Amino acid sequence: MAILHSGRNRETNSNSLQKRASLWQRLHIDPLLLLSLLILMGAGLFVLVSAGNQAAGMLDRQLIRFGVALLGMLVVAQIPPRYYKMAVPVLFLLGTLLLVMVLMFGDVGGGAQRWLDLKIIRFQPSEIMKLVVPMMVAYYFSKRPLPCTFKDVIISSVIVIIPVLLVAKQPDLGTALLIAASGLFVLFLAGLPWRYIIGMLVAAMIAAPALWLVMHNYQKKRVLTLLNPESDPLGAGYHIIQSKIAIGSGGLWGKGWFKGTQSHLEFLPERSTDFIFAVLAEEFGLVGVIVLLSLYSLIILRAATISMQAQSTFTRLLAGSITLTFGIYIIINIGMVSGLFPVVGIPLPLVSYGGTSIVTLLLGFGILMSISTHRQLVSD
Amino acid sequence: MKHHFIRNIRRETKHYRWRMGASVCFVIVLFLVLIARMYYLQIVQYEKYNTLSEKNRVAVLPIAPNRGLIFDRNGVLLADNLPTFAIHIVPEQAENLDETLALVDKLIGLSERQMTNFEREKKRRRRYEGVPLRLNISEDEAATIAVNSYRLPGVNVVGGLMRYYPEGEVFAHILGYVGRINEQELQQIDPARYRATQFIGKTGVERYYENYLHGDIGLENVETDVRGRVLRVLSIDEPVAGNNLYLTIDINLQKKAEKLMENTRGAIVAIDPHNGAILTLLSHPNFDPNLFVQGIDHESYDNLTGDIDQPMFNRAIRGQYPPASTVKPVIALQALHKGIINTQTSIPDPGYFKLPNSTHLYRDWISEGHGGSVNITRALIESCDTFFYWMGDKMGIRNITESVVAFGLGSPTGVDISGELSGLVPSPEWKRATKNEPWYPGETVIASIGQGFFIATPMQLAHMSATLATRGKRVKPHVVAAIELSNGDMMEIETEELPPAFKGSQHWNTIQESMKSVIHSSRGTARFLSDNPYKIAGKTGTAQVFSVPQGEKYDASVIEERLRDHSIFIGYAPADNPTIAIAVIVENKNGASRIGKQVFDAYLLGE
Repeated sequence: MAILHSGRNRETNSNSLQKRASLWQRLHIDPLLLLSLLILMGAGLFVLVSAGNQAAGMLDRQLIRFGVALLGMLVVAQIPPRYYKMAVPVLFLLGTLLLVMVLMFGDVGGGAQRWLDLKIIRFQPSEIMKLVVPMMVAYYFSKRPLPCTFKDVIISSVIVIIPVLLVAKQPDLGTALLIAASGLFVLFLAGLPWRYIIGMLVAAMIAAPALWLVMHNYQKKRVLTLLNPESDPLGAGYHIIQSKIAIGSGGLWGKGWFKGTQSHLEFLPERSTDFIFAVLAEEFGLVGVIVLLSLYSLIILRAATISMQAQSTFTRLLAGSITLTFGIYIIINIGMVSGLFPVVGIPLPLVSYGGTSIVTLLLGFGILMSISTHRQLVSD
Repeated sequence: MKHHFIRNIRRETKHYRWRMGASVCFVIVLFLVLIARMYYLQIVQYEKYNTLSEKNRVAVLPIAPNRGLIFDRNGVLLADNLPTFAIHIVPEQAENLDETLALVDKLIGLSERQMTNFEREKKRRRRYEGVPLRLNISEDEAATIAVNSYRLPGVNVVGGLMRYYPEGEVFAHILGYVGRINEQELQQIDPARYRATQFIGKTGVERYYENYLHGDIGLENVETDVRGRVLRVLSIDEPVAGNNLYLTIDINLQKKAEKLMENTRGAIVAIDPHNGAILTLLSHPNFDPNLFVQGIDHESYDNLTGDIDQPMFNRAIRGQYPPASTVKPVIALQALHKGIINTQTSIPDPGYFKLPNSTHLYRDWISEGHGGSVNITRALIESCDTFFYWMGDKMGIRNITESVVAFGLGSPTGVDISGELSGLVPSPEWKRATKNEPWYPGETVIASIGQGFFIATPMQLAHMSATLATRGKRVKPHVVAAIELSNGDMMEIETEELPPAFKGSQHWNTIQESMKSVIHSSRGTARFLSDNPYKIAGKTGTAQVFSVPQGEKYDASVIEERLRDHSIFIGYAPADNPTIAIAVIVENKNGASRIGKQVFDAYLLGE
């Protein structure tokens, strides 16, 4: 039945290729995904204008970044997934090598070694690994029968853990967390048996105290501050206290665009970057928050649909991981801003001001579009 | 395909869709949790957070610590803090800052300098913190502002403390002064520690001991209304006042020194030779440091800096003069020590010295000379230049350099007053490096009487004098005797021993006896000082400002006042058990040794 079903699908889709969706399909654009992304980014700019408080050039720079990232997304969408699959092992080795180079020769910015200066451009290899690591794990499972065996779990875990450790060493806990999540999502979607999942959770609980011992002081401080923000009202706790005040004082409808006192009187730190959600919550209230989360949900549902319709193991695992990582991004950022999680430097995807994450995120959606629009032409 | 297995596509797809579906549902559930969290913050706790945000902004206000006081050795107050009123503006509360400033200007007047200070201070304040606009306003001005406060939102009259130096200029070159923090200092201080502080030590002890004097900032948690007015204080973390300092200086001796230097340019430094405690340190003329506390106006500042007598110049630690004949005992000690001469060695003095193969005459200060047979003792007592020319040539520049360096010339003494200079001990290497010229034998000849490139500060000469008094035991001079810790305990500044000079040398007696005879023998250059119940050992010197051409005679009456010779005196007393060592420099006139003696009298006899 299922085979028949998918066969029929293939037929109707190949029909539609010639008739209904000819334009979008040929452009390799997923219209629904593109539209919801554009609405989200537009809404984000709206908030940014207020959060930036008319800071000179901020809007322009964000627009340029959006332009470049969207262009990158469309280019990436044109390339069939089989080419990505071919390139993955090389990309992975290259990425890991770059991470090692960052640790050895990288530039120090803000107390951490994250940047690699290639004379022409400076970039963070860790950012690229958010895409390459799930690709590599998906690639591995595309060569193995599913559900996975114990050996598969070990090998794929090693694939994830090496770059994660390299990034955590920089130290960039937020990115390490996201890379780990993106890799583990593939593992989970590939059918990681529940007994391993439970085993991992138990191991994590045991490892937590050990982790505490190896954490940097500032990381420990963040955790302690989360538990009791009032303990350090001038230092680390200040962010969380002010952010909660901003959110809470927004109420149901918010104080109105440009009327957020917390952000405009500069009580709120990092208000155009990591804490931009608090500005939105202050100025547009619970209603604004629900609208934003609905937009995010729309994107996630569409992306999940694409992943479910993907025909190869590689593409569906990759698409699934990109989708879920996007979700985790949102959850960690909002959880952090509203005082549920410790402060880790993770931006609100496609809304926060700032370069690298926007590009990586949209490249990810470009891959999703490629998977979605090259479906009929792919055979595993 | 190198892997040979058959994919169960149907099962795999089904499995994947189940897991992906579950995951997406989980993400959506977490989104709902986030919305629930927002509901809790924005609806349930709305009142609380709205109050916090709109009505009661919690502010942390810094409280400046009181600056440590400075006392003399007997506890007489030298640097005080006086209560004053100042006008502060909270820029966020002023509806229109420019208008407000214009109105304040109209009511009580603002200078350009106050405006630029205000703009600078504004930049380093946090929001809702007052920025000082005018300090030290009068009660009338404070009243004017208070009456008009309804027109001046954000303008507050704030009580504070301001540095005051009750003794004024007498201690100006020891204490230095405090002033408003400038851009450059802003880069060097810890902004958190200085958030409420307006003044910082600029020179002297105020600067050297800034870390002790400043104290620790306090913090006050307050609830403020929308306009930033404090509604109530939630908690206070009290500031810790800076440490009080006790100087080694005796105010009476210092005042006496000031009086002795009236109408005179120069410096006096007196040290207790056994522990390095500075008994008096005076540079004259001086200035009123209180002018600088509130920010000196341009006119007064120009008057001070433009004054030809340079009252701002700390001659005691920054004035660099040729040490002249005052280094003779040190060079003599080296010559005896190295066996270049002995106490019997004598030469005839025709009134000049000539290097072989040269016609240039190095003249003695007595043109007809000191007679047929001058030995080292006579050369010191009568300050015979010819003997030293001859001896200097014989011993060479390296021996001369070595001896004065052992007494600390050429490098700062390390006294705890900011800004000390190091003087210069010339050497062939130094000349090669700075002037790219070789060392000439003639330069050795004039170096042997402390002239030429040779320069030293009064501080260094006093230190040298103390070392002569203690027969080579050297201790670091210091002006702070003790620091009062916050618990009330006194931390005494310990005597810091330096490497000794010519320790245990058998020639000390010769040198000390000669220095005593400078005052107490019939031929001594300072024999007119011998009318006192205790004995003095010393050495006079005359530093040339203007070099007399070959073949001419120095005649003070025909030389312009500023080009006349400086007189220098070093010495210690009582000669057999010294408790005070001194260096006095009087610019462009005689009298250094007399002033030195009067300081001794004041210290030893209480006159």
